[in-house]
Amino acid sequence: MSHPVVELCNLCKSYGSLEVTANVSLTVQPGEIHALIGPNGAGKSTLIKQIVGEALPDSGRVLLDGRDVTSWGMAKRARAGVGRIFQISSVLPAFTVLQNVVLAVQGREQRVYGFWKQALSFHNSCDDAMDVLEQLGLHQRCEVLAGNLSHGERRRLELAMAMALRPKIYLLDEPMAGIGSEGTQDMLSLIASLRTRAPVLLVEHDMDAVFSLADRISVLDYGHLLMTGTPDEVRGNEQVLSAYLGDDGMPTSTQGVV
Amino acid sequence: MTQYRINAALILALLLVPVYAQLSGDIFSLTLATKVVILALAAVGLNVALGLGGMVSFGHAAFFGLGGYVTGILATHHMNAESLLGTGWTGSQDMLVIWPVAVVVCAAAALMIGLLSLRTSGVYFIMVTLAFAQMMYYLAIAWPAYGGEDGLSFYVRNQFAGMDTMTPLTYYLITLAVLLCALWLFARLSHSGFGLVLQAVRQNPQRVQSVGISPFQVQLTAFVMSAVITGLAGSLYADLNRFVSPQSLSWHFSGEIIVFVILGGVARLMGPVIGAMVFVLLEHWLGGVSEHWQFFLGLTLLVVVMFARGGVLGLLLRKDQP
Amino acid sequence: MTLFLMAAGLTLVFGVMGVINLAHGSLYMVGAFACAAGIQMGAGFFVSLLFAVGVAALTGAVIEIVVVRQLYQRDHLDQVLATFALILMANELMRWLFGSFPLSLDVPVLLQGTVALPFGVTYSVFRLFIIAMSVVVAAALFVLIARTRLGVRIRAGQSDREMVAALGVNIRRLYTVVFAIGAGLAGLAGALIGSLQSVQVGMGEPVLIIAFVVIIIGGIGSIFGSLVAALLVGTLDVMGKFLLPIVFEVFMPVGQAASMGSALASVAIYVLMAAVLLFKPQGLFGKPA
Repeated sequence: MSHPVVELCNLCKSYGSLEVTANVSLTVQPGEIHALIGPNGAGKSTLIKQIVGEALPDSGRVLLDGRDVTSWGMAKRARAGVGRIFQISSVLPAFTVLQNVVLAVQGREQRVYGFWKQALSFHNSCDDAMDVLEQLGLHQRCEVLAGNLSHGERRRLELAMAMALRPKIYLLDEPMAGIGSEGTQDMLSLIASLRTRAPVLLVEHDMDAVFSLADRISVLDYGHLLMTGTPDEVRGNEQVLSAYLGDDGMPTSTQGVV
Repeated sequence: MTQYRINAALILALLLVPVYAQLSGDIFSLTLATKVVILALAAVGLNVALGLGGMVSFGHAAFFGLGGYVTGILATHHMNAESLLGTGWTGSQDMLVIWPVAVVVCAAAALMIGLLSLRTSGVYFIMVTLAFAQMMYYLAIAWPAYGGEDGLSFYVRNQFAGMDTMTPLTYYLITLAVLLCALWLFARLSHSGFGLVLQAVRQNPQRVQSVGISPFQVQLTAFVMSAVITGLAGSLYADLNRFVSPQSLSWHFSGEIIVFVILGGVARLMGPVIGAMVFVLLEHWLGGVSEHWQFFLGLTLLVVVMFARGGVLGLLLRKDQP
Repeated sequence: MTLFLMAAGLTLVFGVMGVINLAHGSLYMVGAFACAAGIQMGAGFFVSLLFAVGVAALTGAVIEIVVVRQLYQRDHLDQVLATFALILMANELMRWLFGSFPLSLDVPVLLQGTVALPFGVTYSVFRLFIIAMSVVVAAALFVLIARTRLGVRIRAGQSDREMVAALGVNIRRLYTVVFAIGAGLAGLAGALIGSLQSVQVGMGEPVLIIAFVVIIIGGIGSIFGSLVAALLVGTLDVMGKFLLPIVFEVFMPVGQAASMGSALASVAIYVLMAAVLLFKPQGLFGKPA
């Protein structure tokens, strides 16, 4: 088996007496889409935070490409290849769509201290940015202020910024959230296409999306990792069923599971 | 009215002032205009930190005063042929020497203050910058050798490249040249790569981290740049009055610099210029009408903050911003 | 100790409402002037003191309703500027009403003179009175916050504004009350210190800044922090003014040593603030950001 791109080893985190992450170990393999599911409060967001560097674990290690990044801050991990989408869209509202993506490109190129040359006159960077925007269907809107975008467009802009980083791993925190039925299919194919560039770790509640996209699924409940396996394995697992639905059977479509 | 037309009109007005002064023999308005130019420069400096970077520094008077005191101290030592702090250097009365010294001193101060203050944010940051400026105010009062509370006078304006700087017209042109340079730099900066990152940090520091850039370093850099420009203005102001006092370090003055920026329109290129103009004119006209003019200044400011947040330029341009 | 009164008022307002109020210093001044005015009109000292607190609290309430209320949703810059504008207006207003010369406010006969403390130290009665008043007020504040219904609402408002509003508490009235309490505290401090020194326009501002330093050191939102920090700062100030001139006298003429010493003692407070910022940016008792 090839080296995992991301590896979590015995990660533990508690807030006071509440154990939010209980000895979680998992890997993300190259080329896969790995989904993280679990009921609300299972600790999925906290786990993502520990991977991107927004929160620090009490014990355990986070490895990126074999390197121990457990003590690294968010910016350093981003430079090392973590590309993340926020759960609540956080694009820069006073910037245009193009400026948002150019910022990401500047981050990738670590071109921060240019005081003189105009940001948009770096043709290579702008071309890179426009390429990404084209792939996401936003190139026509490149001069629009991000604050004036629709919700779905904002989610796509978030994805564009992550893609512009050319990361080693994509961390998508509920990318389908708030996207209407029209945008769903596009977003699904977009995410599916990402696996050719880098593996994807995906947190989602939309079960249809999860089961159609994921190569492997990890199930979290009360901070514990119940299992990691293929969609079929997960679908048939007793523990998972009872965690989600008590003793009712698991319907084939579980959209809107709380 | 577009922004370009307004900007051009303002610059034209500034260029025409000396023409008017020469024709009408009204030297006082020339001096007043010089004051506007210098205060505008101070505000341009603050605009880098506040307008672009979102850092509400209530202590920028510290840098203004520092620039002024560097000028006063160097000039006094040179006049009296005393050496500075035992180094053997007797100071200088040449602006071309004084300005770089002022820049270096302000940069160093800003680095230290910034390193400590930028660990905080929001309200804390405002209070901390205010406190540091007060600290310098007390230091200046405590130093009897440099005038203490009464301030420091040096009677001869410093030299600039051999020109006769005592002529109001000459000095006005010198300060105007500096202001125009600063405005040009600001314009380039705001659209540069660094400017993009800085304005991104203002909007969402966490977002900037997620693309691999550290907000703290960016803000510190901007803070230092901002301090240097304001410090240069302080040096010019000291030369204008041939006098520097702890008053230029007071937090009242810090507040006034913020007022210039806000009155004109925060983060706009010419905002500081308009703000300084309006302020000085108000001070001049209202001061002639009533000795309680500061009341009306306060009232104007209050109204602007409550209802006309974008300042004068915001009103004139009526842009839709998200 | 009056420093504590100022700082407590500020931190209360900020902790509950998230508003920074520069005009707090002006409320201090208003209290002092009100007290002086009361005495000039013939009322006794203690009555004037109460009058001062009342006037300050009322002014605070008015300010809250007219100005501050509009500013809760806005960013701190707007709050700072608006309250700065209020300072300018208040100063001129006082100047117009009372003239530019300082008023004198005398210590009442009852509290004049000194008292002999152990160790042969004599201490002014009035200063003891101030300390006593501050302790009483501090105790009253603690009781208010910890035991009464109002206190519960204040504490709840500090943690979660929306929940409190959802629970049916009249948030707007709560805010006005909190602001008025803060204002009253400032007015009390002003009246007390005004008796000790003099009553003049702009007297509140140096105190305001030091109150800020106290809050930074103690931690925003923590009244206990303000108490500790106020004590620290006060002690440092007194010790500095006492010790530094002595230290300087070693290599400086006496007159210079005295003035430099006392000025540098003021600086010592800021050095302490810088040190706290270096190691604990949220203050000694503040909540981490």
